[in-house]
Amino acid sequence: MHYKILVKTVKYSVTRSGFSYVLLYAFSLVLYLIVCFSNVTLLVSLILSVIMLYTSILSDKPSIAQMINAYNIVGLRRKEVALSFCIFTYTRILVISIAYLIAYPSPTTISYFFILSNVLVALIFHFSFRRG
Amino acid sequence: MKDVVVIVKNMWKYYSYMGQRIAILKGINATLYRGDIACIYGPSGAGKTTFLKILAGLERPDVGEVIVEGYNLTLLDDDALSMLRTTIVSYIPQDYGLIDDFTVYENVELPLLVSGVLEEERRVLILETLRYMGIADKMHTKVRYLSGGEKQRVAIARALVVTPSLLLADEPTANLDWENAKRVLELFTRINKDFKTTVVIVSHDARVLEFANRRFALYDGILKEV
Repeated sequence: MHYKILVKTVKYSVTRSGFSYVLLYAFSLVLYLIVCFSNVTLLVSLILSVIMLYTSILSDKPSIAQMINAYNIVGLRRKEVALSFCIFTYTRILVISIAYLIAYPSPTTISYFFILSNVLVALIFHFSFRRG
Repeated sequence: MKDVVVIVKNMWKYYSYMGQRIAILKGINATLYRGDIACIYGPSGAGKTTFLKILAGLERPDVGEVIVEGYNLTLLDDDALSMLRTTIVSYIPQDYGLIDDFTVYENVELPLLVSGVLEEERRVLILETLRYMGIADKMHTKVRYLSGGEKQRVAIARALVVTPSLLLADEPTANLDWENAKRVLELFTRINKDFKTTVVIVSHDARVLEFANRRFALYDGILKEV
């Protein structure tokens, strides 16, 4: 898959309304974790993060459907379409993980952020091949 | 001797509804030749879109064979069917299948990116296609700001940019007034003449039939040439 399609997918994920919600949530999360930090807070925030991610994806459902439909029509393979959806989602997970990294820079969050950002970059590079 | 592009042999397609198996296409047989403009006419729910999607490799028949440009679609895996959509077959869905927040250029560029065409060549091909379609001035406009007729042209441009041998259009006139619809249909006729592309148009509007040289009626899952 051409890297431009993946880059376009990241750009598309960032410009959807769901991403604004994720950004606002990430900002609140930083404040929440800094002001009232405890293990319970961390656990609750993790659950909230999953819900937030799910909500942001749901709010962009028509856009995602449009993207998948268009990619399908132009002849992208099924696994490439699935990869595009992963990239779309990972972009948002990355924002939330940055919030954790700022508010709670423990070895766990640092390594999580490191792994996730690497997975994202690796996916883009690994699948950026030309079909032939 | 005419060059065969599509052969459909005894094709059946079923759907499951409320636990029941319902046949949507019943033993369809058809042969299309290079340069044909075929119009499949029938009421809503007759199975027109399903038939077109099977020709595009987006769905598979349950029984029978579909051969497009010598490729038996029933024997191909998903990857091969995707490859077919980047080279031989182009499908234009009723809702155009465009990404509203991409520009016209970006939408038309997509199939070329998938086929791995180099940037310089991509630019030339896109510009040529957009000029041919008469929408070169809208190149940097986002699709969401275009009218229905312009969106249809962008969808045709995206389908045409890979110069397919089979162009499938699902209800291309459904969202347009008759004046715009006529322009789109004339465009299909021009594409057919200029590129020798076989065009299959599916419609519930009988007026579309006058633009076709092969006319089919699809009623209750049964296809007949008229």
